[in-house]
This record gives sequence, C-alpha cells and structure tokens, in this order.
Amino acid sequence: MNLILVGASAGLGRALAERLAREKHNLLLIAGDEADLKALAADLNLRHSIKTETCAVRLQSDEESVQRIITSAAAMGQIDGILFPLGYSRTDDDGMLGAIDANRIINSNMAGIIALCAHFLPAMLSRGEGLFVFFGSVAAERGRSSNIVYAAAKRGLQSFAESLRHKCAATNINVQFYQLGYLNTAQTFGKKLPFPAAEPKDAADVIVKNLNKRFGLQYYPWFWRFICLGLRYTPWMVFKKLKF
Amino acid sequence: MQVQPRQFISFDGSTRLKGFESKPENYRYLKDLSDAPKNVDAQQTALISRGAGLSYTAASFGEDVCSIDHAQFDRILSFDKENKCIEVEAGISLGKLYDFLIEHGLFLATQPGHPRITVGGCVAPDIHGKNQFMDGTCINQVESLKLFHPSHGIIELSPEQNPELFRLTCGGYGLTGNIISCKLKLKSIPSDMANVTLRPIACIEDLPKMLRESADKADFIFSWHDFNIRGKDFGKGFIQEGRFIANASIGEKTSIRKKAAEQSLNAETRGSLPFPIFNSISVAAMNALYGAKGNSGSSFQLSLFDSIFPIQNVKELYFKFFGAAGFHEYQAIIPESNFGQYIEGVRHALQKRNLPITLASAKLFAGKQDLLRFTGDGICFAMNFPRGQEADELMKELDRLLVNCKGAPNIIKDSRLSKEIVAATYPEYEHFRTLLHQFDPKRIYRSELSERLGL
Ligand SMILES: Cc1cc2nc3c(=O)[nH]c(=O)nc-3n(C[C@H](O)[C@H](O)[C@H](O)COP(=O)(O)OP(=O)(O)OC[C@H]3O[C@@H](n4cnc5c(N)ncnc54)[C@H](O)[C@@H]3O)c2cc1C
Repeated sequence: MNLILVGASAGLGRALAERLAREKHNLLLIAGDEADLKALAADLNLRHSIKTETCAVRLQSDEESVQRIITSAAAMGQIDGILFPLGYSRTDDDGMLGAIDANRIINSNMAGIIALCAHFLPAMLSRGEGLFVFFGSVAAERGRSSNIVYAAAKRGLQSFAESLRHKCAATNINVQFYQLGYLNTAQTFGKKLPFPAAEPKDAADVIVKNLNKRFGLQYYPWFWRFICLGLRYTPWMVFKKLKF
Repeated sequence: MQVQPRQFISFDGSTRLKGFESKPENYRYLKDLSDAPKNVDAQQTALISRGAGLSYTAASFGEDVCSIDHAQFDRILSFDKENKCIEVEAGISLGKLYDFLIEHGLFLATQPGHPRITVGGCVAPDIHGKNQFMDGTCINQVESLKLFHPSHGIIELSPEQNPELFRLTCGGYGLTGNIISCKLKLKSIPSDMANVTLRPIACIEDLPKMLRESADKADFIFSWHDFNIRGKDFGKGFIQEGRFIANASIGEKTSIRKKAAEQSLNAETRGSLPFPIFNSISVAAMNALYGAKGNSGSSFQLSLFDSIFPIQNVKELYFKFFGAAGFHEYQAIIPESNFGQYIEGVRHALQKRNLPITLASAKLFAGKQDLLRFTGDGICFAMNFPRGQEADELMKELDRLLVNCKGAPNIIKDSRLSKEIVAATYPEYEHFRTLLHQFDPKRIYRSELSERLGL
C-alpha cells in the first residue's frame, strides 16, 4: 500500500514507520524536522527497499501545511491510507491558555487531521476503499484539571473518527481509532506513572497486524479498557477528589 | 531537551554514580544543547555521549553529568556498495549494521565482541577486534565523521579535514563532543563462515612467536590460557586461528544471526546475582574443561557472526557469574621484547594470591601509539578476575610491572586506572590534554573516566 504517516519521526510514529516498511508499504513520512525525516527515509529505503517521500511540516488546519502534504503525496501516486500517530500536549494546559496556544493544541491534535482527511476522502469514497488510523489518548477519557484543551481535542478527534466510520460503513474504507495508554516516549520520559508504559515498537506490531481488521475503537495496552471503564463510571462525588 | 536523574553503573560493577540522562528522539536536541550551556557554568552542564553503556568503565556517565543516549540515532544514512562505504548514525548497534551488510557481502573489519555495542561506542574509545595486527583499530575504518559541540556546531572530520581533531575524537572517549554520524570503510567477505583451528601452546613464553606464525595465515587470531595452574604448566592453552571459508553460502545463518542481534546484555542486569558463582574451585574446573578443547589441535566451523561476536545468548552468563560485586577486566599492550619479563612478573604476582583467573587471553597488535589511543606494536594481553581486596592489590602490582615493561593499559577497560599510571604509560598524555583544552576550554564533555584521569 501507499501510506501517509503523519508524525513519523519519533515515538510511535517512528516505530510504525519501521514496522510498515518491513511489510513493504511505501511511505510518505511527515514530521516537523527535515533532518529527522531525511535520516529515517534513507534508512527505511536502504534496509527495506521501499519507496519513501518526505514532507517536513507541522500539520495544522491552515491551507499551507495541508497543501504541502498534498503536493508531496502526488509523487506517491494513489494514497491507500493515512495514519496519524501524533499528539501535541503541554504542561501548562490548565484551562488558562491564550487563544494562540489553545488553537495550536486543537489544530495539531484534531483540526489539521480533519483538514487532511477531507482532502483524501473523496478519492477513497469513489474507489470504495481506503484506511484511516487515528490515535486518541486515555487522558481524554474523562475531563480533568490538567491537559484540558488536549483532552478536548482528542475527544473531538474520536467523535470525528466515529462519524467517518459511520459515513464509510457501506464501503471498504476502514476507520480505526486507538485509545492509547502510556507509551515509553518523550511524552512520558522522566515522569512517574501509575501504570507501566508500553514500548512503541510493541504497539506498532499490534497496529500493523490489525490493519485489515474492522473495528471502531481499541485500547492499547488492552488493560486500559478496564481502567477507563472504571474511570467513566466513578461517581462524581469520588472523581472530583481524584488528583491525577 | 528533557533530562531526568538516573543512577548509573559501570559494566564491571565497580562504579555507581548519580547523574542525569537525556534520551533525545530527534535532531532538535542539538539546538537545545547549543542554546543551553551558553550562560551557564560548565560544571553544571557537563555532558557526555552514551552508546549501549557496555563499557567496563564509567566512560559514558559521571557524577552530575548529563548522559546523552544515542539509541534513537541508529539509522543508515547512505550506502555505496561499489566503493564499500556506509554512513550511519553513531547510535546504530553493530548487530543492526551487520544484518544489513551481510546481505551485501560486506562487513566492518574492526568490531568488539558484542552486537549491542554501538558505532559511537567503537569510534570514541577507538576499540580493536581480533584482527588488530592486520586491520588496525577503529580509526582505520573511519573515512570521516560528523562531530557536534555546543561551542563549535557540527564539524566534519577526516584524516584530511581537521585531522588533529579527527585523531582526538577517534580515541577521545567522547570528550570532544557528540559523534553524530560516521562514514565507515567496509571490507568484502568471501562468506559468512570461518574455519577455526586450535593450536596448543605448551609454554606461554612461546606465545609471541606462535602468534606471529598464525598471523601469516589467519584472518583473526587470539589465544586462551589457563592461569590457575601453578608450576611449569602455568599459562598453557591454545591459539584460535580463524580463516574465512571461500564460497560458503552467504546468508545461510540468517535466523541465528537476527536473534542474536537482539541480545539484552546490559550493565544493570549483569550484576543481578547477589553472590558470585566464580571461585577458585569452580574456575579451576571450568578452565580445565575449556583447556582440554585445545589439546587435540582440532578445528571447527563458525558463522562470521559468532566469530565476531562470541559473547551472546548463554555465554552472557559468564559476566553474570561475577555477581553484584563485579570483576576486573585488565588489558595491556606489552612490547614483544619485554613479554617474557612481563609474564614472569604476572606469574609471580598470581602465585602469591589465591585469585581465580576466569580468563587470560592475548592478541597480536601492530601500530604506533598516538595520543590516548590503545594501540602499538606488541602483545595485547587480557585477564578477568572477580573484584575484591586481593584483586585490588594484584592490579597495583600489575601497574608497576607494566610501567617497568614499557607497556600501556587499556583506558576504556580498567575502572581504577589512575592519572599517574596513564601519564607514565602514554607519552602523549599531556599533549592529549592540551589539545582537548584548546578545543574546548570550558571542558563541557566529562565523565567519571575523564575526571579520574585528570583530563
Ligand atoms: C561483551 C563485551 C565484549 C567486548 N569486546 C571488546 C573487544 O573485542 N575489543 C575492544 O576494544 N573492546 C571490547 N569491549 C569494550 C567495548 O567495545 C567498549 O567499551 C565500547 O566503547 C562499548 O560501546 P558502547 O556502545 O556500549 O558505548 P558506551 O559504553 O556507552 O560508551 C563508551 C565511550 O564511547 C563514548 N561514546 C559513545 N557513543 C558516542 C557518540 N555518539 N559520540 C561520542 N562519544 C560516544 C562514550 O562517551 C564513552 O566514552 C567489549 C565489551 C563487552 C561488554
């Protein structure tokens, strides 16, 4: 397949790039930094003999960033699927962020993704097949006093994925949404976590194995499904006292 | 750049220190490093690169030093099969590199014994393989490299471009900055199988002559000796002569090789046994058994992977058997003319003590010593034994012996080497120091090793 990987240079995105290349998928790699992308593309090219394209851009909902990706995608030919293993959060996301900062979070985690999907959806609809893989966060499972805008954006993304799946139900367009627990990446580095962090490469193994499976939502690692269930049904009287 | 406190331990179990670590995932960290130390005192922002952390000594960490882990920088950047050259990021493991190259019938001529070791970890201490007499040390395999230093940015180094800094970096123990990437020269291999012949050594004094004889017909050689026997048999053993077999099928052992590349040996788990398995009795029995292998003058076949990286899978237990207390890895180059005097001194020092010598081994070396690079003409002789008071006394005696015999110790392997001994055995110690301070007056890159040696 010809796939677009948005957020390819680090963490889960990097692990997915490696895993997808091993399966001989051609990749358009997207991330913010040219040097990282060039190194990754060269390595995947040489070791797995796949076709790679790169586009150094931070995906936002603005015309320019979306257009740059579209231009790079043209060199790939038909795009069969897009994966979005990216997330942007910040420690001062406490409900008092200014418009620019809040917008950046919403843009990176939701609006940019929606804009890119909108471009590729018509071609997939007319072919009747395609693939979208979205990644949410267990931090968005229930709103808390930290990661406020981030959780809102991720929950928005989940709703978007749900709608897309509904729209594509009669086609072979596969829409998957992963609710991710802790992964051993820069986002969790140095943090004390109440639950163990999974390795990105193990997550990538599961995601790539699942590419042809039809499901709406899956938790990774699996045990988060039960933790999240517990969280959702924790009575407000108790939940409001939880500090995390 | 995110940083967190971390407790480090050296692979030999000798040194535990609190420092900091950073695990950058992308090149942005270079900008962070360029910006950070400008306004701050160097002491507070000391940095050092870290590969797999498999050095016996505390070379990739130090007290309050921030170790920069290169694990994410493990990519192949370019490959020129025709000209036998590959450019890689410094964090790539030798196992990953081997897996790629073997498919093209090529390999890196100089490699240490474990596939988790990184290219940066080979270049910075200028390591050697079992073919040093033929192929030199790691510096001889480096065509060029990119070095980063916060005060200088990214600099390209090669024997032609910034040659002095190139020599200071290959064998500079990470003290000149972060090696970002290296262009490495490669060699063709006729096959991925080698034929190994064992030649018994009855008398250790004959070792230099026998190693020279082997050198004429082998691609790699090393010897093994039993140093636990007293009397005339002291040091008997065998030479392993390896030669690649032409026309064996390349890639035959892929499955074994790939599995081996994912070994988990590391400094933290090495010392997981609270007590050592090695003692005088178990080591004497182990050596007698292993030594018997060489008596017959037999030969066997070995995959190229196993001959380059002999320590994998169950053999990693060897290091674990030293337990939490750890072990000494002693290694030195002794001029051939003084080898008899040296071995006599070692025999004398061991006879006084009841210390189990778990490994005694030698390689043939050729070359000229330069700066603090572990190279030169002579016999490269190594021993392993458990740590403890007796071992400490032995090491001091070996230091004196080495100075008398005009030998040089291996800096990357001996955790307790002092500045005085290094200054006495490396004539260019002061010159190295001067060059380093000229390049980096703030001395941003530091480690326990550099502090101990007064660098
Ligand atoms: C089982 C085993 C077998 C061995 N066999 C041999 C052998 O046959 N011959 C031999 O010579 N040695 C041998 N060694 C020693 C080993 O090769 C060296 O200690 C090597 O440096 C370890 O590499 P590393 O990736 O673990 O680096 P580390 O231990 O993490 O670092 C070693 C040094 O390299 C520097 N460094 C690492 N990466 C970079 C970088 N990107 N930029 C700048 N500096 C960097 C560090 O600062 C440090 O000074 C062996 C060690 C083991 C455990």
